[in-house]
Amino acid sequence: MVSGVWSCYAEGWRRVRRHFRVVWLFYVPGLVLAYFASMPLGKALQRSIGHSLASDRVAAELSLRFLGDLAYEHAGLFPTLLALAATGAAIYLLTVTFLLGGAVRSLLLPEPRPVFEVLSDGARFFGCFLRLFLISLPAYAAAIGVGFLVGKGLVALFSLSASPGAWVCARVLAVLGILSGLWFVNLVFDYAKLLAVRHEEHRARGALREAVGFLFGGRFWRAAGLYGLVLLTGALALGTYNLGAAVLDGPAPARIALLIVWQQLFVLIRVVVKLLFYGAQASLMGWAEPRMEPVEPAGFLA
Amino acid sequence: MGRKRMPRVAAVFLVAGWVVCGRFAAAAVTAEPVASYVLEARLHAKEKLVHGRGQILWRNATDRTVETLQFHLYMNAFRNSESSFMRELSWRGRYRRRKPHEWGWIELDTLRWGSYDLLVNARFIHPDDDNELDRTVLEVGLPRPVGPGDSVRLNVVFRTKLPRILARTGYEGEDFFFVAQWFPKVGVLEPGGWNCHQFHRNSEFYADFGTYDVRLIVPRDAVVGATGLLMEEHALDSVRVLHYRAENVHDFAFTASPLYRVYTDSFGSAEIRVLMQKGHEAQARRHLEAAKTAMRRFGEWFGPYPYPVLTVVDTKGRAGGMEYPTLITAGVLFGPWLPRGLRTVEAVVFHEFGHQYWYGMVANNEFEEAWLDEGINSYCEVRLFEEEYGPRGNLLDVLGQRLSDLELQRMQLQLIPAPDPVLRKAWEFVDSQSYSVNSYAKVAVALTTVERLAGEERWLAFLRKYFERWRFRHPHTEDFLSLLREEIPEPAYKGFLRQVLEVPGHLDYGVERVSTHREGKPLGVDFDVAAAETDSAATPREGRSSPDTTWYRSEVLLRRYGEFQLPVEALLLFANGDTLRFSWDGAERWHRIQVRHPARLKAAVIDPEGKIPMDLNENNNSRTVEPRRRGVWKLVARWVYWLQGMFSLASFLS
Ligand SMILES: [Zn+2]
Repeated sequence: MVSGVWSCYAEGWRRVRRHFRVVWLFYVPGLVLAYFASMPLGKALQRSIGHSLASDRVAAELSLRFLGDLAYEHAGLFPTLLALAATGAAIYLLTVTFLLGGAVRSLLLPEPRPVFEVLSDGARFFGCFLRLFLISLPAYAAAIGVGFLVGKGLVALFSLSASPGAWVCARVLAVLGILSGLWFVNLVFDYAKLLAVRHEEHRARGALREAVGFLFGGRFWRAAGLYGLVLLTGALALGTYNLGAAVLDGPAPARIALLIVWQQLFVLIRVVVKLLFYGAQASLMGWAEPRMEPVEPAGFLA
Repeated sequence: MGRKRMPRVAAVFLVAGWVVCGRFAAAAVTAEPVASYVLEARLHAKEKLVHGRGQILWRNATDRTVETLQFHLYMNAFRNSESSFMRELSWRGRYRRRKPHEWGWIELDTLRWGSYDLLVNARFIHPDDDNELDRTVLEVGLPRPVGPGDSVRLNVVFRTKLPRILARTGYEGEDFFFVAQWFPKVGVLEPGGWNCHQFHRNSEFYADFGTYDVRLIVPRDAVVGATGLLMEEHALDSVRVLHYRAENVHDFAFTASPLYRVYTDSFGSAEIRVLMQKGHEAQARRHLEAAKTAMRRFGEWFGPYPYPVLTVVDTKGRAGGMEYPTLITAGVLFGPWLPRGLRTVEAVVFHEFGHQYWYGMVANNEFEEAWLDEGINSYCEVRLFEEEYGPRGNLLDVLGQRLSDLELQRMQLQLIPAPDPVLRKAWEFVDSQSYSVNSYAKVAVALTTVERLAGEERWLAFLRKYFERWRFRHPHTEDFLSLLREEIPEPAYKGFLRQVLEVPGHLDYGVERVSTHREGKPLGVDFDVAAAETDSAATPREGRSSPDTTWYRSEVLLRRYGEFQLPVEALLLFANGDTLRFSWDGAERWHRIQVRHPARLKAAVIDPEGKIPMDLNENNNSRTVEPRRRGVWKLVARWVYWLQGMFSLASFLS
């Protein structure tokens, strides 16, 4: 089983590499939206410190004191930024929901596909994925609710004993409970999307049923292991990013430029990891059901 | 060498002088008792009731004869929704849902002067508003007038029902009691008459000094903390009796709960007791250390803590962050996992301890001039943080995020609307935010500004003198300002402080424009090209020069954006490294500086040493001739990056 998980993971990488243009499809809208959502900040900063020695101080260290001065000078700036951020997040969520159908279908296929095909696949599955998203909301809420209640029970149970260690244990367990609930819901819904595309199942509930059936048909631990591996990859990328960002942090213009490149590189990698998940799980489906159209290792190295 | 040969006469004089001064000093550092109380109070834990009885000894320390007495019955503020306190609170719809047994009240069963029953001629008055239903001030007619210097000894019996914690007094659960403002308290007789305000949402207290001799009877298992020194204690059946005595104080509060853990230490001759809640034991040491640090610093600045004991209480519910004589309350955030770099424990302990000086000893009227204790004390808190932990990140230093106490106070001025002047009666502020920003933060930042401008030593000497002059007395704003004028004569600082106290507003100076250009040859009707080259008008007026020096004309426009005025300095930085310094009295809305100098102007900076924390926007304090974009780029890029992260987190759901 372990080797199965591992080879699916490797296969996931190969698939993402093969369909790298999909990565750009996810990255560019996020960048554009973030750019527009940050424009009021750019304007305000330009006015406040575009001709000020404070600009050097900010480049060296972003202090809470500076944020206080900025908020004082530009009343209403921060609420505006938050509103724009929320709007941007909503638009991006819809965009990704739209793109995901095409992305998943690409990752299931051996050959790279033109962008318009990816988009048209996305359009075909958009309705189904949107329904899945809406259904997932109460599921997430329920997961949080259950986790919260269990956590509360744990805390009550542990606080009967006076030691502060138990108190901390209970809280950590409670948080872990909520996280694993979220993780489980996420896994089920991701599988629903994979299976919807694979079986051309456009009914959200049908896809969900299939996902549950597939996951609990003996493949749960492999899927979970793969999820964990992808998560680990993400964590590794984050660690590397943080290390690099700490090294690059400084007020010199060259450092600032490098830091910006480094930041965007990490954002790109994050998209890669997201698609890696689908690629790897798609390959797990192929591996688990060899009778379906075989995913050929032949064309990889092209 | 001089010591050995000191003439005997001088030695005698010195000794005599020491004796006289010592006596005088001893006399000066105790209060003239005006209102003293001998009370016995029994706490009925189940009923949340305090049965009290005893004597009140009041002396008329004024020149006027009085025919009435006025008492604060603070607990009646929690009697019902129609007290002035509750009305001020409930406009926002809060506390409407209080359960019947959660209200609090005080009933006077007996109030006698000798054989005369004062309750026969008693009525509730409401000097601050027209609320007939408020019962927090009681006026009683006296059978005969009390002249200057005369005393009355009153016998009193009362019952106090504690509310569920409100305004930091009452009970929480079945076994936590914090009992403050619980007995009938005489108002302050001033030359102009009684000063006895109703209890308001935003107001604290005002009382005369005296001696408190209190016997507390509490459940046997209760751990008790109280104002004053524990003289003796003994158990009796199911209860314990504790006898406390406090001199030179103007209030008495106590707390009782079986769940307290007690930690002790000492500083100088004072014993420090810390009562911690269960689960907070890990922070006991921090409380003790903070108390000792505060005692040491305040001792250095103003003189040693004069009381024999200090009790620090880690309270439950909303009782935390309050001062009573020799008893202060704190409160713990985040249970046992408060990071060391987040100094909330220190902040509360420093602040509440500081009140032993500003409120406890220098006892201003908190109803009318709250800034005199809260503001000065907040300034001392800022100063204590800077001295103890340095100027940067002294309040918060966690995961690279740093904030100093001064910056936090300043942020409150920046972000919280407070459209009142500082000098305003506590209940007349538009809301509690405006009350607290004005009384605490604004004064703290303003006084720090004056300290930096006037010089630390001179300022501290003034403050110490103010403390010594007004210790165990009731100062007013004018007393502070007139002593300031004597000690620090520059009119600008006093003028500035007066604005801060009397005008709602801000202080913000900035550099609005800078420009620099190479000086051209004079042109026009009176100049032809040949003449201009040798014209004496073109001879440089200042600076080093040679005939072929290139001159630059630079102009800087300074602005006053805020309402407050203060003299400021400006520094001009030139491309060749030269600097020029200018002063501006800061009175007009703008000030222009024009300079002819043999180098290009690079930037102009106002308040270059950062002596004016009251200036609420530092970003406009400098202006460069060339654009300075690196900060803009870095911050925008970071925000874009954060947004991308947020988007990706949101898309986790899709
Ligand atoms: Zn205070």
